[in-house]
This record gives sequence, C-alpha cells and structure tokens, in this order.
Amino acid sequence: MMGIKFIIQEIEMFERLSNIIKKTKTIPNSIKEQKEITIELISRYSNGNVSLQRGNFITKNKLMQKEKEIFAHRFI
Amino acid sequence: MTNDKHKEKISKLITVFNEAEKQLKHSEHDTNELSIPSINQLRYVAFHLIESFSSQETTKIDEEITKAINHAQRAKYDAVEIGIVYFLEQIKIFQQTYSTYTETLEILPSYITYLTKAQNASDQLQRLKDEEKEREEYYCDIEPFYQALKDINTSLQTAILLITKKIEENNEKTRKENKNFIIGVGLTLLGIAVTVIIALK
Repeated sequence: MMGIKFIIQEIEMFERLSNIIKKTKTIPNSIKEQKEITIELISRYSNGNVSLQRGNFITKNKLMQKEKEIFAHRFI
Repeated sequence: MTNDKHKEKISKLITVFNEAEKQLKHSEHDTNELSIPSINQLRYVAFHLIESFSSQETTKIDEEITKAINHAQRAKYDAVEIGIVYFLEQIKIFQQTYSTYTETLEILPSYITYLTKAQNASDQLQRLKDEEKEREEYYCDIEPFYQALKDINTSLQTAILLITKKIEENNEKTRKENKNFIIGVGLTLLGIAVTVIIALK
C-alpha cells in the first residue's frame, strides 16, 4: 500500500516536472526601441507638418478600414 | 460683405476654424498621423470663402460663408473621430498582447473598467454611424470619448514597462522555484536508487 502511494507521488512529481519544462512565459516584444522613441519625440515637437513630411497621414479609406476592424473587435 | 449679418457669420467661422485647427493639431500629435479628411474640409473652407469674396450678391455671400462654417465644423469632427479610432486601435493592440498575463491586472487594477469603457466607446461610435445623425449632434455625442480614451491609452502605454518588469521578476522567481524543485526530484531519485541498492545487497 505504501509502495503504491509512493509511486503515485513520484508520478505526480514527474508530471509537474514535465509541465515546468513545457511552460515558460515569454516577454512580449512590443516595447519600442529607445532610439525610435527619441526620433518620435524630436519629430513631434519640431516645427512644421512633421507627420506629412514623414509620410504619416490617414486617408478616409484607411479610416473606414480601421473602423471596420475596431467594430468587429470585442474589448469585453 | 461687411454688413452686420456677415460680420457675425465670419466671427463664427473664425471661432470654428480655430477650434478645428486646434483639434487637428491635437489629433496629429496624439496619433502621429495627419488627418487628410480634415485637411480636405479646411480646403473647402478656403474655396467657399474665395467664392464669397468674388460675389456681389448678399444671398450668395451668406450661402458661401455658411458652407465654409459647415466645412470647418466637419474638419473638427473628422479630427476627433480619427483620434478616437486611433486610441481604440491602440487599446485593442494592448489587449491582444497583454490580456493573457496575470501581471497586467496586478499593475492595472482598473484594466477591466478600461476595456469596458473602450467597448462602450466603440459601440457608441458604431451606433452613431449607423444612425447617421446630424454632424453637430454626432460630434457632441462622441467628443467626450476623446479625452477618456486618450487617458486610458496613456495608462496602458505607461504600464507596459512595469508589466514587462513584473513578468521578468515572476519568471525569475519561478525559475528559482523550479531549480529547487528539480534538485528535490534529483535527491529523491538518488534516495530511491540508494535504497534499492542497499535492499538488493
């Protein structure tokens, strides 16, 4: 009886061990590089239509497309 | 062109134009994108003003100034709408990236409230678009969402570094726990092996 209990305990231990090996949390790679942020800040607070100069603009069609995607998404 | 009625309308045009220009700048800074629909509306303002300058008829002048005011208002609404859509998009990206992490709720206890507000804003925007309301009425309904969503987005973007740090800390903690556990397993197996060897002797 003690032997069976011991074997069960060992199996549980190995299951936990395999779970540890399988599951590793990864850190999302979405933080902008420091250099990119610096460029962003310089361009935002310098004079002129920086967005347009850098080719950053939004058209009516692009806006409609974005709206479509947002409306199809559920936040909750 | 200089009678009192026109002066009053031109004064209104100046006010609305300034508001539109201000909102356009805000949206540009917040979204890092220039709103082409708003710029086009401002071009139409100039077009109707030129039309009014070139006319001698009072009715025609009045008509053109009214059209210019409407386009300036439309420029303001479009800029607000673009900002709202941008913030919702950013919140969506955050949600898709960080919702599965328990650390997100630890760092942002109001995370669920933020998502609820984002859903409400999205629903409201969609409903208003479907209803095809008058632009002024539409603007009054969606304008409050701009600052609310901007604040939420700022909180989420600020939290990214903290969440990542927390994940790293928790990963390190788990790594240590796992290391201790594996050592424990090794010692147990060694114990079993020694017991078996002694028993066999």
